[in-house]
Amino acid sequence: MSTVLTPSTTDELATIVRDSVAAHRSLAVRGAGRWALALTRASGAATPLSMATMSGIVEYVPGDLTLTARAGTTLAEIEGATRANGQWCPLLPDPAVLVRIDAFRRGPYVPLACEVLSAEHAGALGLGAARLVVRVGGNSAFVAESVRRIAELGTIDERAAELWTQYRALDPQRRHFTNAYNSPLAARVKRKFDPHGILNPNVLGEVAV
Amino acid sequence: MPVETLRRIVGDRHVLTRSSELLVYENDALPGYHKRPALVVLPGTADEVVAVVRALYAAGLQWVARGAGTGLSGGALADDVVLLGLHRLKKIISVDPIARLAVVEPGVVNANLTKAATPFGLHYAPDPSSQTACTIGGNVAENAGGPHCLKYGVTLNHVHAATVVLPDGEIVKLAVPADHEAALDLMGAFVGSEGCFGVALDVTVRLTPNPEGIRTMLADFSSMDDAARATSAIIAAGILPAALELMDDATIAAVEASVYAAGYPTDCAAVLLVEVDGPECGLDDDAAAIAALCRECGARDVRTARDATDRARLWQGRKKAFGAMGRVASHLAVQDAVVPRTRLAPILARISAIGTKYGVHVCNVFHAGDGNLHPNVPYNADDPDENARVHSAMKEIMELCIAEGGTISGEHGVGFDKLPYMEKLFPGDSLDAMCRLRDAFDPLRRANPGKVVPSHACREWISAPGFEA
Repeated sequence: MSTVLTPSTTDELATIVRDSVAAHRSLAVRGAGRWALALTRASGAATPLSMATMSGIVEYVPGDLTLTARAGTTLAEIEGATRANGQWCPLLPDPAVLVRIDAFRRGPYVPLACEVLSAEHAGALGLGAARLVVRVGGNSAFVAESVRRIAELGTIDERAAELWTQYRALDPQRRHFTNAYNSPLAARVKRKFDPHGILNPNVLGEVAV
Repeated sequence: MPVETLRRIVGDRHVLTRSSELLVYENDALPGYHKRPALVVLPGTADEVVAVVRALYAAGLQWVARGAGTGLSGGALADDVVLLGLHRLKKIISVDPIARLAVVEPGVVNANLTKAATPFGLHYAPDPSSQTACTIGGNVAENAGGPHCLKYGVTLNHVHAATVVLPDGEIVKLAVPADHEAALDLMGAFVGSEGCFGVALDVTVRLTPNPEGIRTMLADFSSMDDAARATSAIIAAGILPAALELMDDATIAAVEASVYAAGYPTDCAAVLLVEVDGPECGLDDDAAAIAALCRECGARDVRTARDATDRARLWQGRKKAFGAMGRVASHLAVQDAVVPRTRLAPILARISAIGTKYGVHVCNVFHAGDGNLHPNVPYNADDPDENARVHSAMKEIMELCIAEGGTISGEHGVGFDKLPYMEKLFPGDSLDAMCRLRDAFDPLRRANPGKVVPSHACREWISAPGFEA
């Protein structure tokens, strides 16, 4: 079992990434370790790089609806910070779950004006997000309230359920899409940013270094 | 030049080479720049687009894709290269009201998509002010916004999938990855790539249910500062309006003197056009809270649209404001900076001072809720002195916005117009990362050459054979 690398600053993270490139050492980047598919695919030889210690809200401006958080910040922390201002961050439907912000996936509620505005990255590779800025939506919208009900009561509101059907409707076609792992275009993008295949080997289907 | 090859693909009448024909394609909606394409080719089907792109690739030619030419950054200008017009591909392929998805060709006009979705109680949410003319393909290229994107998100949030022909002729299908799917979000990379990554042959977009109720309000203020403070106060109160737009006195004067007159008060310094929508329950509470906040910030009056006709009239003035400025002068310089909402008031004051310093007439009409400024200057580009003063003022305004923690484009794209500001905003490593991503799609730089990222900032491009600075 490899030692888990736990950088606490952007500079430390950048050093780890650069050293790994030089040493041809693969890294398995993880937040709270809740992305099961990625963890399953990640090569056993890769050294775990945990972003959990790079946590904390850097800046929160309620009047701007923006919040800047480091990569290891939990959504629960963001929820706690924004609740007092009647705001929330709908990156995932269940803000109580300890999913870290660096591992977020675009969910069905993003169209309601919640988006990652920018991301800073560490090192020359351009991967390994260290700092993200997210927009925090106001809570007056109906769908926002629906999501809260789902999270807190476990019920599914009709309107929210219809949002989910968008994904199901496209599932049969999904196997044809190019951005799935192992497609030539996806592999080209990966190579342009990570030519040595250091970060998260196998998650997107590449051969581990 | 493979003119004969192109004519065989699309037909004689859809390849334009005469000077009088090319003149039409020298501009986009930013009249300050003129670039004449080498020729214009207008395919009418997806198959023809693919055949044209492959023919251009085989001939080693560069090209620029163009929708309706309503862009405001010079992004669709073709400087002596082939211009690929996509406005003939205007078919709405399908509307699925159950899945709330529509599949459209790139040349479909934005407003026509909403028209097709209306019988199902749905609409296409991104609503650029040019929505009666601009195309979905162009919207995707620029990641277009619009007044209602404050609540509903920009084009990126409403595109689900696309079939794309890459500049080398390869056809790929991109889609937003599903939750927990191990895939790159190449769809996200493509949206907003400003025509540099390829051409969308079809686009699958999300449709949004029409809200049960809408309240549209017009608040007028004696000072811009008060209007800006009201904007911040509304957002800070936790209310998320569907739209929150600000117009200053110069814009109001232009609108009210035009055929788009909306009944805005002409004796005020600024108006806020605020709209809330959603379920009827609670909507009046939100509207009342907004009106109270506006009055607390100094609004002279807050009125609510009486009916759908009154609402449409209020919106017409806002959406046609750029057109109304065409009466003021022959040219219009348009900027698109985004600044922190909490800094709106001091930044607007500084912009006004910059206008005074250079003796130019700045008209502000913008998405205040997003902090997305549009300082516009009507001017005569044929007057060298005025031309120079306008561009100096614009440069200073953009530098101000960057210094205040803002960025250079909210929805118009970088294109050609904002190229000089890229290096002021992004460090070399970031520009290099953009070039690497572009190389994955278009390593030979065939699509939309010379746009978005300054060429001398791209290390790999500089080292490429045949590179010319």
